[in-house]
Amino acid sequence: MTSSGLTATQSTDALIDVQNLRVTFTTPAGLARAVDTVSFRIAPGETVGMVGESGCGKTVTGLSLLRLIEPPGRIDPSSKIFFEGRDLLTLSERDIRRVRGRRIAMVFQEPMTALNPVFTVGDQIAEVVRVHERAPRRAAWHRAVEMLERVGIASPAERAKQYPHQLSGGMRQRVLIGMALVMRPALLIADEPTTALDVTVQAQILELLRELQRDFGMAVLLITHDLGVIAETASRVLVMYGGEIVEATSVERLFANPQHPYTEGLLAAMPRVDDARERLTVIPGTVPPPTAWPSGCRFRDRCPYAWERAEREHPELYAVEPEHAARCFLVLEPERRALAAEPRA
Amino acid sequence: MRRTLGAIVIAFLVATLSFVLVHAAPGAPFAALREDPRVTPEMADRIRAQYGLDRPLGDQYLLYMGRLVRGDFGESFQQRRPVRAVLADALPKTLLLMGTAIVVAFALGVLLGAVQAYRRGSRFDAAMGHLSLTLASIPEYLLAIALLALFAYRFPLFPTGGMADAVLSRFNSPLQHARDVAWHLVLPATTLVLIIGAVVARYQRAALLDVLPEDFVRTARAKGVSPRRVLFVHALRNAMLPTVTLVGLVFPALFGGAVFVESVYSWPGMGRTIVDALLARDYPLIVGSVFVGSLFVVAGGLIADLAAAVADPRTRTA
Amino acid sequence: MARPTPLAYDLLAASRLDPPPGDVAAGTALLVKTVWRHGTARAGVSLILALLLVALLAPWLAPYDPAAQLDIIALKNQAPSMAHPFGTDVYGRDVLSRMIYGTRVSLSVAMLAMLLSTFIGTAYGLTAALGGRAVDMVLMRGVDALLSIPRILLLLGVVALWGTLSVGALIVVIGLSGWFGAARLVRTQVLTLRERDFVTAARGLGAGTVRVAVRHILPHVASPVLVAATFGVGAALVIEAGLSFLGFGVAEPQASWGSILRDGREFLVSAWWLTFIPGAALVITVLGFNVIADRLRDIASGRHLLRP
Repeated sequence: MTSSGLTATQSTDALIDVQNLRVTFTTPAGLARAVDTVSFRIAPGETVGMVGESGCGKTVTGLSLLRLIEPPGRIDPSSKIFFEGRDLLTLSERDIRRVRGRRIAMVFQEPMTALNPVFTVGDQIAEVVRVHERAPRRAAWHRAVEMLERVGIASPAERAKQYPHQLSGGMRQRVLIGMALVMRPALLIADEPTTALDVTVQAQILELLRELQRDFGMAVLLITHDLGVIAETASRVLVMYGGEIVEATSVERLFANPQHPYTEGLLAAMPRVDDARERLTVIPGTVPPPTAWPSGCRFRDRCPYAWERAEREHPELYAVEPEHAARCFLVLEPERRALAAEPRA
Repeated sequence: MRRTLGAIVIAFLVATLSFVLVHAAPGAPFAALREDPRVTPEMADRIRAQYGLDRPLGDQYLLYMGRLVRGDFGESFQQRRPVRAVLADALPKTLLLMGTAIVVAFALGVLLGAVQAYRRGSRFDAAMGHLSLTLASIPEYLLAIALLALFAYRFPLFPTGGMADAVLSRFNSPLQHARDVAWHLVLPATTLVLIIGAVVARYQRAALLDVLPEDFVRTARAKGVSPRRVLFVHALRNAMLPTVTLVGLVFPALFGGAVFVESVYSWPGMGRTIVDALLARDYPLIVGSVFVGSLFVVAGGLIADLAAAVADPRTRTA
Repeated sequence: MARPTPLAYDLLAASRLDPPPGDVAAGTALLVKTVWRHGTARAGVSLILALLLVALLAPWLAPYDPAAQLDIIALKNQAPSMAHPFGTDVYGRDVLSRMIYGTRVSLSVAMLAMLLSTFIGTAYGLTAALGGRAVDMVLMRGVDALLSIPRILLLLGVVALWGTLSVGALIVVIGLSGWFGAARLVRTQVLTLRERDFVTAARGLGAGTVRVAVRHILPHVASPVLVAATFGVGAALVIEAGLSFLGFGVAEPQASWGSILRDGREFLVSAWWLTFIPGAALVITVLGFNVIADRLRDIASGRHLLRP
């Protein structure tokens, strides 16, 4: 494998090393910069949460790691995604297929629609094995049944012969997880795996994911809009806004000492058990369309602190501490926080 | 089942419509009977009695419906034998022509549509898109004439019409006869295949493009399945269900096409029987063949619907 | 065309322009311009306009009387020549003149029949959708039944029993047999529209059912109906020619493309032009209507924005 850049190499301890990921979509309204210079690493066995509102680029980031972006979407050629020593973006179509489902797997948000309605769930899991191992039909089926059992489905041999519409939402999500893990991938991308489910089922699925991660030792990128889910499962967090990472730190620090006003807003909007407030705070305004990010800081229109520098200049990710960075001028000028005595909203 | 009930309603409507049309036509029904040289006086009396023409319209209607239910359509003026016998000869021949055409057209159309969808945006896709639009715009009778002129007259590769060689068929063994019929079937069936296949291909391509943005297609891709397998297995299995339903919906039009094709190639099926009956003003045969033809069409649609339901696990097991 | 990802779909939906309500003239102008910008559709429109002109100017364009049997012996089935560019038929009539007059009959029958079908279909569909559950069920069952009978059988049944038809009767008969699809389409459209906000708002302001139907719902049904009607002209053209071809169309010596086709049927090999010329005219014209309809459908669904 030749690395195309001189400086761009994979850091030694990371399982996946995403460098300057940019994804654009050509639309009638102009070029949409859905993901903009996103960089992060995930260590083997680590669980990283990625959080943000819908439309912030989380899902597109997840799809990019498997190169599942299709026209009119496009991953910028300057982006790098190093995984197990190779840049995924320079692999041939054949080679990236050998990564998908085998080394990196993905679980999608909608268990109702993510399964093919005309094939049995057993067939759909067995297909992964057959695609990657050229395993005989019987052996692949056997592995599928085993996997169904592993993800907590009762009487798996019978269930395997059923079609998706015969299973409940929670069971379908278990099937999808089984399908993702049947090849024991090194990285699992879970895109809102519990959003579409009932609250009680949500907890069960999260518990299952945690348990499987422990047993299989895989790394997980958990994409969600729910900080509560992050708090329960992840060790590190990436907060995304406007196609960019706006804050990156450990879960503990994020909850204890958020630096970006957007993170603050997310935390304030989070319901808590010990909450005495009458109403939840919401972040005012909406995410601007990705074809027209505001100049300077992309959050400035919704930010209670924004001052004129945010209009003029685009903030970088500034280090707060060695393992904590935020894309906000407040890191550089913390005294400004006090100036905005009474934040809006 | 609701569809079966619908079919009965349709049969009833068609029967009533035929009755109304025959009676609303200028001049009394069978007014020309007396002058018709093919109709003997005894036959005319028999017909008048059969239809109860001397009785009130309400009675006539009941009489007529009762006979239809029993499958008694009277006697053909032209052929001097029961309409039922004429139709029993013609129906299997239409079934052979349409059945062959639909099966081949469906297979080819689905394949072409899928390949087009797989190579969407390519030059091949565009060329096939234009070809299928052109074929779908050509009336059956024109295509039939064109193929006839080309492959029966200009290059005499195939017979010009009929279902079997009139002379040879008397001496042929069953196997030779089957081969002879297949030989006669080529041009009429090809005419229908080209037109139906074009429609199916256009529809299949569109149905596939509708299915491709579905979540389960993305799941398949994320599993490491090749693009070819994604399209021809995952997407196609889903996108074929609406195409089967389509065949049911366009079945009436297909039958209409068969009427013309049979007429051009003198294929002795339902279509030709109907046209001949109309040209000859053979009333019993007109009513009988239009009625049975409609039932045939309704049954065809019903079968396509059933096939779609059986092919879809959601309706099969739910 | 590669499939747009969900994100791109949302952007497309947001950028699609709904026609400004009420401003029919501006909407129509925009529509015509959008159709015209498309090369194939432009060819289709030009062809149809040219044919309409031919139909209109038939008496001045035709070199001979279309029914005149010029010289039954010398001019029987003469191949195309300078004097008779499209040749002559078995009765020694000039095929070019017959084609020109035939354009008149074929086009007017097809277009007027389509207008009749569209009118009946729209009224029927509206009634079914807005007339309440019971009315809807009865009306749509009827349409389903009629849709399952081959159109040509319906027509043959009528035509054969009545004998030869005048052009006016032919229009009525073809129009009456072609509205079932339009009725179904309008009904489905209206049913989805009925629940939309602006209809509810109009209801809330006290507008009656008929007023809501005509002022608020009809304009939004217009575009799918326009697409269906444009396809419908082609279908009517084919049906008319088909009836004539089988011998049940316009009466001799009147010419339509179908009747010229029928006159040539016996001479497929010896007088190919009798089949080729009306056949080609028919196919090209049907294609012309179909490419326009195709383009209109793309516009109605917003797909033209993807591929300018």
